[in-house]
Amino acid sequence: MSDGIPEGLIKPEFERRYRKLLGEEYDILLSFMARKPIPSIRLNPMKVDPDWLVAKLEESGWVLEPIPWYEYGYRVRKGPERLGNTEWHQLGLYYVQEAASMIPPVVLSPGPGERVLDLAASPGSKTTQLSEMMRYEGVLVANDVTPDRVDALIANIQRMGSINVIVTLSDGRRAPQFFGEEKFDKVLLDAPCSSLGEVRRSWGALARWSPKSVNKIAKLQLSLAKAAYRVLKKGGVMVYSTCTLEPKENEWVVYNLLKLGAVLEEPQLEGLRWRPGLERWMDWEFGGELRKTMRIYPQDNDTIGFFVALLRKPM
Amino acid sequence: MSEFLAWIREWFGVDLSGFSLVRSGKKRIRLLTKEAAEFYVKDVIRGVYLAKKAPYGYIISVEGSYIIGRGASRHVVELTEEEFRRWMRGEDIAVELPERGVYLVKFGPVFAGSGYYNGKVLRNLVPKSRTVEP
Repeated sequence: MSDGIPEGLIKPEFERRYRKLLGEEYDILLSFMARKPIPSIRLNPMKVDPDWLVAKLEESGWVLEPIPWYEYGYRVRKGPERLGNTEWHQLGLYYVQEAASMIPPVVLSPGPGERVLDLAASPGSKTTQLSEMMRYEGVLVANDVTPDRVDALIANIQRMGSINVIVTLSDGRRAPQFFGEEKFDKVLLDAPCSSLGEVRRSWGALARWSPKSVNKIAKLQLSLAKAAYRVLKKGGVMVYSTCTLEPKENEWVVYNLLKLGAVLEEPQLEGLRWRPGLERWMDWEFGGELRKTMRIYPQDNDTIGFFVALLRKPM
Repeated sequence: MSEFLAWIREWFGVDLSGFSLVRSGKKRIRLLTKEAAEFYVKDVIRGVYLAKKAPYGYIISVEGSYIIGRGASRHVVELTEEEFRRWMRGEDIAVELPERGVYLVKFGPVFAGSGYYNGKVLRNLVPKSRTVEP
């Protein structure tokens, strides 16, 4: 065992890379990766007065702690074992969602009346959050690539009552052909990834990790990111996020979007600890602009790991 | 669709003209915002399932109970907390109501789908997938 992670799961190349990335903090990362994440929920202000629901949950013995970066997010310090099997969950009054997963919609900050695309939307945690932030106004297109993923998405949109959402089924890499060029005011690409940030939920990501698999998924991510950028209107903003810590899947993808003319903006979030993105990694020189991206390590806020970049398409 | 809108207006006193309604199959009706209805894209589905035709009127979904219930002036039944918890486990509830037919179910500010009152009990029309497992 290494800090609670089963023996043999951490590959030598993984340790070499992450020791290089984090130095002495590598062991802290491992110790957080070995812990189960703190359960958290996102209240749905479109269905219920959040204060009423918080009071009701506390009356039932729940202990809730507000998540600083999203006003309707709460960590459940004490509550039922199955958060998905309560009256309130079944009625769509809250969504069980990891605290860090609430960050990309907050950074995108969609407003009522905008046209927004969530390109890789399933299972719908961020879609339904975006819809609520839009107050069910405007248009939110939620896309995913396979019918089984779309089924999960539809079920969650129904439960949360997101009446401004259109579900589409298409390969995100062909988004410009499917939706048309420069169609959306805002685009979220929460890209499929190697999920290293989610090791706290399951060891699977560590078992699957290899430099080859990272390279393969980074190519897919770049194709998706380029397509997402093309469907963004001039002057529009896009969030690129992943739940991994791999520079090739994060800074490398964003660096390639900058080559297309995208401009990075620095997100402003209260109460969140994050590190600037990497300026260089291995043979790549990404440049100082990448410091505007957010690396969120599990040990920073006691969440899963995340990477978030906010990009604008110039007028 | 006009039959459904007329039924909603007459039975609950609610006007849904601010939304778009679309048929989904023979019996189901979905609801979405007008903007989402007008946005041109090849979709799988839009908005949320609102209601389904039944011999006694329409079964109103959980989401439909919110959308209609907030403006409803009649045929809404308020449950006690104990009744609400049983309702959410899928049970029928013995109540006395003014007339037979479909009622929206409410606990405090929360709507919890619909039921059919047969003169004795409010029959639970909430799908099993939306109830709480014991």
